[in-house]
Amino acid sequence: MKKLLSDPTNQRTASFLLLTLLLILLFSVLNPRFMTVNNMTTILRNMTPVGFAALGLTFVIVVRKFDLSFEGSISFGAMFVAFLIMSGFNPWVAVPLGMLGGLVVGMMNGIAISYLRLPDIVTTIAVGAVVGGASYWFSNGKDIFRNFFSSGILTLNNGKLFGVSYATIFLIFAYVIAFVFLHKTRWGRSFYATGEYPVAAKYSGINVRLYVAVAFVISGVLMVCASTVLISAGGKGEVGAGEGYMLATYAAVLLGAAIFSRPGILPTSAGVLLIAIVSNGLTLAGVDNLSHNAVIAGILIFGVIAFDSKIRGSLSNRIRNGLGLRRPATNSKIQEAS
Amino acid sequence: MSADISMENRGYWFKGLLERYGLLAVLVALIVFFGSNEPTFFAPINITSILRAASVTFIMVCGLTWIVATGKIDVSFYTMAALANVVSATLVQLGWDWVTAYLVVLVIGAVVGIVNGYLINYLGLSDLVVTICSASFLGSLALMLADGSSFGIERPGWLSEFMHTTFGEAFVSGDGAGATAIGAVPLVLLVAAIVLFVSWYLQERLTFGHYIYAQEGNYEAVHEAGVNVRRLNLLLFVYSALMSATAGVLIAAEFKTGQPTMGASYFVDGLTAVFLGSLVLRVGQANVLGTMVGILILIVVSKGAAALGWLSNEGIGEMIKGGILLLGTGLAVFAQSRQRDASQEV
Amino acid sequence: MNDTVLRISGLSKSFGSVRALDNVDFELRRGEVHALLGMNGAGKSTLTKILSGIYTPDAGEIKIDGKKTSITNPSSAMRAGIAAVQQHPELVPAMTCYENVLLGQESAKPGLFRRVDRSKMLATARATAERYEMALDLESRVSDLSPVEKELLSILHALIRDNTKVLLLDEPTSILTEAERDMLFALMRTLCDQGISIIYITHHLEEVFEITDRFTVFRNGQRVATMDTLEAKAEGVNLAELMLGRPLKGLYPAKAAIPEIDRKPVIKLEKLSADQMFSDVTLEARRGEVLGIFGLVGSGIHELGDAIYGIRKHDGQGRIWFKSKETNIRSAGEALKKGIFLLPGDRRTQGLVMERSSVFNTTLANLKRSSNRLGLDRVAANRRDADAILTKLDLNPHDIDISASSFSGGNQQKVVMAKALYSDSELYIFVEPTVGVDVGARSKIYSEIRKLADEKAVVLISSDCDEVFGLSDRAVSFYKRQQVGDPEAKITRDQLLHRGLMGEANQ
Repeated sequence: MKKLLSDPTNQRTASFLLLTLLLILLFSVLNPRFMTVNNMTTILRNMTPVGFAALGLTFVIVVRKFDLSFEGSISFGAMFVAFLIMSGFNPWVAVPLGMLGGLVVGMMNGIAISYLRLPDIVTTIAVGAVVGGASYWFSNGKDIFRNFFSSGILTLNNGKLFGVSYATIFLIFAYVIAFVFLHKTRWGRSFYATGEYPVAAKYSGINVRLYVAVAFVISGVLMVCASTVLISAGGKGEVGAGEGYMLATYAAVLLGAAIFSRPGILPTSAGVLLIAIVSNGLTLAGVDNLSHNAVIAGILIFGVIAFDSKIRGSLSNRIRNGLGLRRPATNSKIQEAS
Repeated sequence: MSADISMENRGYWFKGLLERYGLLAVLVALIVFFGSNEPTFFAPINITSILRAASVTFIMVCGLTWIVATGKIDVSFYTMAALANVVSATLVQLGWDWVTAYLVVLVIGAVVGIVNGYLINYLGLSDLVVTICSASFLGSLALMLADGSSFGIERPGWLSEFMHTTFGEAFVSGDGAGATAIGAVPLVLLVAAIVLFVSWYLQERLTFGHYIYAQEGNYEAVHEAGVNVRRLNLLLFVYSALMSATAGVLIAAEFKTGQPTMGASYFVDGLTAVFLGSLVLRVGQANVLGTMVGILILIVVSKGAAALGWLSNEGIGEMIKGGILLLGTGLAVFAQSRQRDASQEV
Repeated sequence: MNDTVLRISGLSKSFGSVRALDNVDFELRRGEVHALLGMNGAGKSTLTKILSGIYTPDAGEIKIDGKKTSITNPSSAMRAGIAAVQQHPELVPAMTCYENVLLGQESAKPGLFRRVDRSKMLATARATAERYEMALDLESRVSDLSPVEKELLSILHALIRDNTKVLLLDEPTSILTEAERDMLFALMRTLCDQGISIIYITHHLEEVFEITDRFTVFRNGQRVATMDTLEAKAEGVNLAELMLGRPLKGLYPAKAAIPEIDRKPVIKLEKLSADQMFSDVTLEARRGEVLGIFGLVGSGIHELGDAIYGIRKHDGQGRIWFKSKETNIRSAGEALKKGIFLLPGDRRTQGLVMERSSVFNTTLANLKRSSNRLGLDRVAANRRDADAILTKLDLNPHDIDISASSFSGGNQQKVVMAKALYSDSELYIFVEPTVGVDVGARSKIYSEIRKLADEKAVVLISSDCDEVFGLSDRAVSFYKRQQVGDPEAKITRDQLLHRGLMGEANQ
């Protein structure tokens, strides 16, 4: 057991599990309804849209960029797919077409940022505004819900398999594929190399610019998946569909990355789970919706500070110095000697 | 060698003039365009409205301008304004006077700014992540305080009057005064003008601004020269929070309401103005004068487009703004890459 | 001017197990130009970093003007009268010269809210520039300056405080032309006339005889010799020998076993040029031998490597043939596919992904080999392969899972070697393979390079002359972006060094 715990990855997984356990205990005490099967499925259902969004954002974070366009692209995706369904398209056609639209949005981001060298934050804000504005095109801003019932899109959310909605099954599916892709294939390794040491990646023959652009494309496509789940759950396409997703999505990805020391599919799923549990627990504990964001923001910033390696390093150095212990020699000075 | 350089300098100077003030020409061109196509554009009411919106928006993002100038970002400015808006509205509704309410708001703003500034500049955390957190936090607080919806202020008091007074109404008695162009200028523009002037002075004539732009060029050089850059950057975050808060209070007075969600519309506009404005005066670097020009351009475009009936639905406005932001950013990057020393690239 | 302005006794400094300075005594006279010579790692830059306050010594004493002085940080160095000009000075490109020179000192008292009095700044800068007879247009922007002007500007910045006694110049001329160098030397003479002493680090030996009064040679952290320049010139002292000492026996493996006839050309360059980087390069690398390219930083050798590898563009006027086919390589990916691998010179930013394991790094340049047709990683096979290679290279500690950053420099370089071996290429270009690497790891790396050369073509690009000469079958020097001499001709070690340091081809 001790040997198992000495591996840092296992330590982090252990701390995550411990944290989750504590949260579950806390919320169960605050409201016994928390630990029911019904509530568990509610948690799963509510976290599915964020789950997709966070999955997309993960790729962007892995290549060390930021994407602030997804509130706009989720709205656009929602209206686009809803429009296609209203126009009579079968959901099996409408959704892939919508994802194609997401791909185009992702390409806009990717080309501007990776090839035209525009700054990621501002560019994605701009693209988000453009695309969010475009979401008004489809119905002049009005909600779309015609044909929803007859097209069968609602079964995505309402239909269940083993008590879990189809949407969530798709989500799990997507996470599994993404996990294999990012953590078990050569392309995944290239993504990480691109984000961590782009120059070394370039010298290793990796087309860094392409990988950055593709990260944004993947994000764009997955955002539309989130849109689809949203309109299925809500029964309509509305222009403000993406509102409020910024914090939850970043919190999930970054909290996960902080706990596990680097971004990835497993860290993101941990983050999504944590945020979903907290959100649900807060609601059941009587905390109103408005304060949720404040709590989540607090958790994120606390998590980032607590797990930041630099801060931990300097803190542990100060403790060591205070206790009179010697600091281990760093390798960098040896390099500098020549 | 000296003779050659001065010849180059002259050519550089003229091209620089074009580059530096080209955006102003764009503004003038836009005004002419909209004005000629729709005469009501020049109506006093419209002018008042434009200038008032410009003043308030400028106050909101003048601090953000300098943060962007150092290469960082603060996405919490609009929720800071929202919180200030709601807090001041609540206090005034409870019977407090504007000045005291404003002081409370300033204290809140200072705390927010210090927290942001410290986490980013002393602990080295990402500016985006920290300000996303503060943005959510402040937005949440604003909603909680306002119980989720807007509310009116029954006795809006002198500040509200001030926000709705123009020069014409204030200084000239009798009718017909509001008809002249000067008369249509709102008093609050004076406030913005003072802020603009003081900011410009800080930016151009004092070491304050000097170090802001120096560190954007080379942080290490300024640090090695013995300047306390971290403290400067922290002050910038405090200043940004204070100014956004001020704007929030003015907006509360103007609309006589507390609106927890008022900030949202200023988000893209504010950033666009700052980035677009970086094309004026200090080609590629955000600055206060440019921000003002950027704001005016945005407001002229939206009011003009509305007057011409272009904005048939809400979405088009957002698209235009997003497009302008993209364009402005692209041009700024292009301008900066030309100024950057080519041999520094590896 | 004969009195001593700076006296150092018993100075020592170690970094971990590496002894950078070993009980060094040094003396600097007032108003003299004193050069510090020695190959990389010999100790001269450690000495200057201690003097400028970047490092603190482990032992020893520094006396300035007879007074014992302790230098703990850059500020105290400046206060003591020591002004250092780094090799790559930090300047703000968009600002003018006078603004850069007076950065932090815009007005009498420091602070954030002081008036920036530009005319006063300009006057102060002009006054100092005139005092030292520097011809600079102080109103021009730094981004418009030529390299020598930037050098002059950074010297001016160092001199702006009036109390400078010692000026440290770290390799200021590596990218200067002849004329520009003369400007710098004129400035240096003016400074000396005014009583300032200059410590001058350089690799360009001809400059030593031209500008210095005395010089000191360092080798392996020790001061080997201090001589008066004129005397040394008269006695015909061989600087190269002083710097290199006698070559270490046993460090370099035996030369090529394959006869010349059997060595097939793998890559051929003809008149290859890249604007401002290198020009007119003609050489050929063959299977079964090591081709060495020696040159200092700035001589163009590193840029040449990048150009062959597709990372840098060349002019298109020259041609490259790879395996008898004319090619144009536009990216590292293309190069790798063709069978060319380059080991970059800076392993910390270019060679390795530092926070990842050795397995990750080893397999990074040949992703195809490390994954199956579906793209899935061959985890077990990769571990086996990496383990095998790293065992052969003697990785210490032998742990293929810990991150690259936890290894010493020498072992990190072994991981980079492993990456090269795993890539299974035809042409291997090694750039600075033993920078910051201890002797034990060096000999391992050298024997691996030699073994590699038996079956493949190897090009060795390095600023370590000993290394190039010891390891290569054929070698050529580069001086100031030009190839010197014919790579086919036989060459001695001293010739190689002198050509790289001085450039004449008729040595």
